[in-house]
Amino acid sequence: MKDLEKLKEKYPNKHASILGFEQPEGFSDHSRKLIREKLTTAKQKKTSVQPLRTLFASLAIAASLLLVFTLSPSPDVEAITATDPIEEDVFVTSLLLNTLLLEEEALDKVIQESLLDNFEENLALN
Amino acid sequence: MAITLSHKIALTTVSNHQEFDINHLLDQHHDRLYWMIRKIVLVHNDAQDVLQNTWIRIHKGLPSFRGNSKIDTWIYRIAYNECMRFLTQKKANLRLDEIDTNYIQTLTADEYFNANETVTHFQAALATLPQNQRHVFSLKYFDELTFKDMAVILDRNENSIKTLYYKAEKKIKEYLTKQTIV
Repeated sequence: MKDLEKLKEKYPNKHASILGFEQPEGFSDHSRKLIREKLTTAKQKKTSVQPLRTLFASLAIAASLLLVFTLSPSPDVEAITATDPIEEDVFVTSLLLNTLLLEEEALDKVIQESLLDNFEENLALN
Repeated sequence: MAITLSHKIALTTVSNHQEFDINHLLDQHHDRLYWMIRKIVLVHNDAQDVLQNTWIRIHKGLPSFRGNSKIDTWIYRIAYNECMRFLTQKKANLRLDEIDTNYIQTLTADEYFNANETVTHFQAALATLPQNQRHVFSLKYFDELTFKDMAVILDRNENSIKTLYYKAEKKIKEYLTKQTIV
């Protein structure tokens, strides 16, 4: 490494003397100026694009909201109502209550009578 | 007077709230970035293009710079990435661990390359290195960056950077000793 350090000391302008890299005269100032111009242009472009971007964003939001309102059901459409309450089958319930304490023979009689009553009732209704 | 990075690079880590003026950064880092880029892309006009793109990227990225690294390291990393982007465009199958067979040819084709005896020997020595070793050697030897900063810039492990550098240094010394230039 010492040898390489010596080389660097020997040639202080290392990019030119050791690597042979040269630049056009006044390159540094010219390049700085050019880059500043490019940065200013980029900044101006960014500034002019900014309001447009905001406008597009607002339009997109408005369009989305419109779409949501269009797709959602209108107020005049009947809302889904709760399902009808299940009607209690009085025949079965009363039969069960009546038969719980009965003997088999009496049970058969009660069932037959109930079925007959129910049949007649249905017949009368229809 | 030779410009050394160690004199110029601010070692303070910036806080999240610190703001940077692009014009100030440009004044401070323009020349050193140019030389860093030039050593990688070799040709002056290419270096100029890459330098301009680098500054546009720095300008774009500056508002989102969080200060997790030094501003100098961040700028160098953008420049290095831009160089890699340029080299990839130029050579689709770019392999950094391979020797660039067109190295001398690319150099000599540039109108802003002036070869004397020292330059010829030194460039011939650099031409024997794979590209990644050459980049690491240049960043350390010419730009005087620390291994730690180079690890961030090149997005590699610090130890692998050291290995690449010592391999490169050994090869160059061997080559130059043979040529009795040092």
